[in-house]
Amino acid sequence: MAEAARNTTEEELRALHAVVDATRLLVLTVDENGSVQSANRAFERATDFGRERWRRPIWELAALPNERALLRAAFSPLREQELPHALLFHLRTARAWRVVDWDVSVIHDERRAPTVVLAGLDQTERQEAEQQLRASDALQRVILDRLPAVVWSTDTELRITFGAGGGLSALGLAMNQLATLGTSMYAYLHTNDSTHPVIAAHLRALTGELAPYELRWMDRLYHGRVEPLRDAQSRVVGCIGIALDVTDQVGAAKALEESEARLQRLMDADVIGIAFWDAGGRLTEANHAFLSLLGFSRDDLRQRAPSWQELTPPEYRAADERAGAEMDATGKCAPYEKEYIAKSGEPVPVLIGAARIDHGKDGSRASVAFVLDQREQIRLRASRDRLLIEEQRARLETELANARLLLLVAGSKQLSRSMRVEEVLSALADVVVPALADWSCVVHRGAGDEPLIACAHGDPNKRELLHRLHGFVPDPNAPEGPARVFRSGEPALYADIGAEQLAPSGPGFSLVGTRDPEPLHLIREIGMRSLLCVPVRDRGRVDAVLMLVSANDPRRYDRQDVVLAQDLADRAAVSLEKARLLSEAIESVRARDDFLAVAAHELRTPLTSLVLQIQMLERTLAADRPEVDAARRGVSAAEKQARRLSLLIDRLLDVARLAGNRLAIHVEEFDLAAMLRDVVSAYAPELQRAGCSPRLAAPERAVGRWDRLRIEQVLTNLLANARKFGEGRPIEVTLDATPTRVRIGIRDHGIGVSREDQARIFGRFERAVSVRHFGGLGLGLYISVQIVRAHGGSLRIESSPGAGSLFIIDLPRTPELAMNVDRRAPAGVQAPPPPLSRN
Amino acid sequence: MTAADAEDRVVLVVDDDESIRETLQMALELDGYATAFAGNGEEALLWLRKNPAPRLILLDLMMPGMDGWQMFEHLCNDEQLARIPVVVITAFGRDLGTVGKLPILKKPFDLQELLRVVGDRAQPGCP
Repeated sequence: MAEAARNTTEEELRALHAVVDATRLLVLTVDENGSVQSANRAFERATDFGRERWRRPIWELAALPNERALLRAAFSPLREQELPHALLFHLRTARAWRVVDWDVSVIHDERRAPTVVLAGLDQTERQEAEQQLRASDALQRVILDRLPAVVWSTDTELRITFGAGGGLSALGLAMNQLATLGTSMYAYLHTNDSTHPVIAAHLRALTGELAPYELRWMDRLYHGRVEPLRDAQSRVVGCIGIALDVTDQVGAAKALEESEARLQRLMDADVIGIAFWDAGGRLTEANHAFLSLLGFSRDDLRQRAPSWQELTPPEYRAADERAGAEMDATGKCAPYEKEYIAKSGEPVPVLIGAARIDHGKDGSRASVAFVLDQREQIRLRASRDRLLIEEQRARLETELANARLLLLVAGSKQLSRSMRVEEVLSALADVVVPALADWSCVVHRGAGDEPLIACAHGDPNKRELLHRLHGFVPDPNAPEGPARVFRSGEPALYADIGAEQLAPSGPGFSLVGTRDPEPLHLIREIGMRSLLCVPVRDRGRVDAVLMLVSANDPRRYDRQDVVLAQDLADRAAVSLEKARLLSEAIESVRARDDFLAVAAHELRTPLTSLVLQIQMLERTLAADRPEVDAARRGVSAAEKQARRLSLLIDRLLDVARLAGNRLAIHVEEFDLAAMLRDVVSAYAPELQRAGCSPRLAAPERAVGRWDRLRIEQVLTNLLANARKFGEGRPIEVTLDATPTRVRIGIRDHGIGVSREDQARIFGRFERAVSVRHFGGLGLGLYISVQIVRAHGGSLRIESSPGAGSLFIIDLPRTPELAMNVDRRAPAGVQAPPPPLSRN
Repeated sequence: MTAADAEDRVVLVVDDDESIRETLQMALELDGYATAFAGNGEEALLWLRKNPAPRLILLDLMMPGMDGWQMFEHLCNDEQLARIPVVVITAFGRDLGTVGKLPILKKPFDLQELLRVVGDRAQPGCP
């Protein structure tokens, strides 16, 4: 065009202008400074601009700022090499802007600077049409955008001509992003590889095939399909592709698959019972573990599916229903323990957890249950519980044993401190309260007819009541209670006592051994719900009974209490024995002191006479004419006192001999009747002086083998005794003889001897009366009984205070002499003949 | 010798031992005393009620029936009898109790001592 211009004339130039003006194209020329030099009529029409308005830099004709910047950069100054061949910008007009698509060319003229010619096609109408088209497509696009897919089309060069679909956002692309339009699929996928699955699919589609593919793209998995795009003549003009993002579906399916595999493994492993229940609660499927737990086979299940109610004991149905409600609310239930009924009818303990599972198109909800066999667990738990109980019991028993030991130790200490019988009884009653009893009593036989009783109560308010019980004495004939223990020597346990057993009006004795309403009333008031009586034994005899009483509390005595109480009672027995021995020792010392005092007295009395007689004799003989008769009387009296002293000394020696086991017995045959007559006769004057005239009743003869002197000594002792204590009343002496034995009785009617004293008057140094009133060594009866025993016989007394005494000597005619003398015990009335040596 | 003099020469011996009684009689007679005897307290009180008060009572303690202690108590409770001097004769070696402050002839005593005590005539011993 520049070449032609050089060679044309002005006419030709005008004609050319006319052509330019005639064209529909908008034509501008721009100089090297970017200023518009000329514009054709089409331009002026399109813009309604006259010369004055279009003569300006070209960028000022652009409507949009970025377009203005772009144009200015290209034209000011003109950079020919960088000029685009095509330009699209919005052209300002007098009314609005037009979209114009420009072709750009440069005219070079040697005489002047190059001129840029822009020939533009007004695209405004086309664009508006396209806009309308796009608006009509909008609904479809909205729908497409909701799809989790990408839909696109390409031309045969695989340039993207259309793109839509919600899947774009997953690809980091904005919907309607035009930038991708026109982009080649190769560029989009950043590949030149024609075997790339997407590229390959497109290439296949271009050959008319339908091509599916799978692609992992930007961490998502797509299933795609590319089809050929055909025109009206069915020629392939491009491709239509659709790709679905299947990442989530595939993931879910895979997870499901894995889950199912795991479940299957779980089911197959039989570690845990798994059962499926339909919405109606029937067992539809179960693994081997579940079936074998309940003893069912698959056939059983096939023949008839049992319901959970059938398999559940009634007491667990409520728990199952609660679990069902929980599953309805949350889809699952917390594990809980229940029992199933096995096919055999046996209960099977299990731990169960369950969940609802969607099932069926009808929306019914089935469930799956996971069941753990708890039998071993229960067994272990039971065993552990048993062990725990045993351990607790053992600990309790140890504590109990410790407490008992402490009680025994404390009891022993308290008992051992007690020196008197009464103290021992009090200590025993005290020590069991309150550890073993609410209250307690110890009933002791006592020394004489009067029993001793000691009681203790843990409650100070009840002690006064208990004190009033001190006069209570159980009847020895009562069948139960302390009386029974006194008789049998065995403990008596009354674990649970009813009111009727303490009633005074019953037909028999009350439990405590009395019918007396007063102590019974007291005992009921103090309370007695459980009673334990144990014997306190000394040398095989029950000396006392310890009564332990549980008053109101729940304590009931049992065998263990018996053992403990008996242990305490045995310790008390030792203390009693000790107290008795101590008392005996004290008594023995007292008796010895008494004896020494009396012995001194008895020796001094004849000694006084003897001394006075000798001094008088001395005085008589010192006179100028001594009186021979007086001197003779003095000598005779002195001799009498000397003999008396000798006799006393003999007796003391006898005691020493008995103590040293050296009493000599020399038996010879003689007539005891004759000897008795002689002794009574010889002693008669002295008896008569005391007012105790003797009467003798004896057979003619009673011959036997005895020690004459010793038997005579016994008879003299007993007669002296009768005189001494006979209160001036007559004395009867009798002799009875059988072929093998003889019996001598000496009866006085004097002061008598109490039962208590009867046991001890035969002891060494013992006397039943005060030394102030009755002289004598107190050895007579002791020596006598030893002599009689040495003959194999016995000496005893029948007496009561104020009614006189009968001493009875029983002798075998031919004594069987034993070897040893009992030096220890006082000879009791009932004591067997002790052995005595003969030297 | 007047009757009163004669009465003043009487000594009452209270002792249950016959030999003691006999010996004391013989010994006191040597110095011209007359003696009366009782085997225990009861007998002695009976004698005292029937006879004039003796010069002295020689009182043994350990006797059957009423003993020496009891008799002394009776004497002291009787205004007349309480004036009679009492000398205890005893072989009892222990604490003498209520009669502990009386003059004592402890058995065995000798003749001279006996005659001195009787001759001196002790003061009445009742409190």
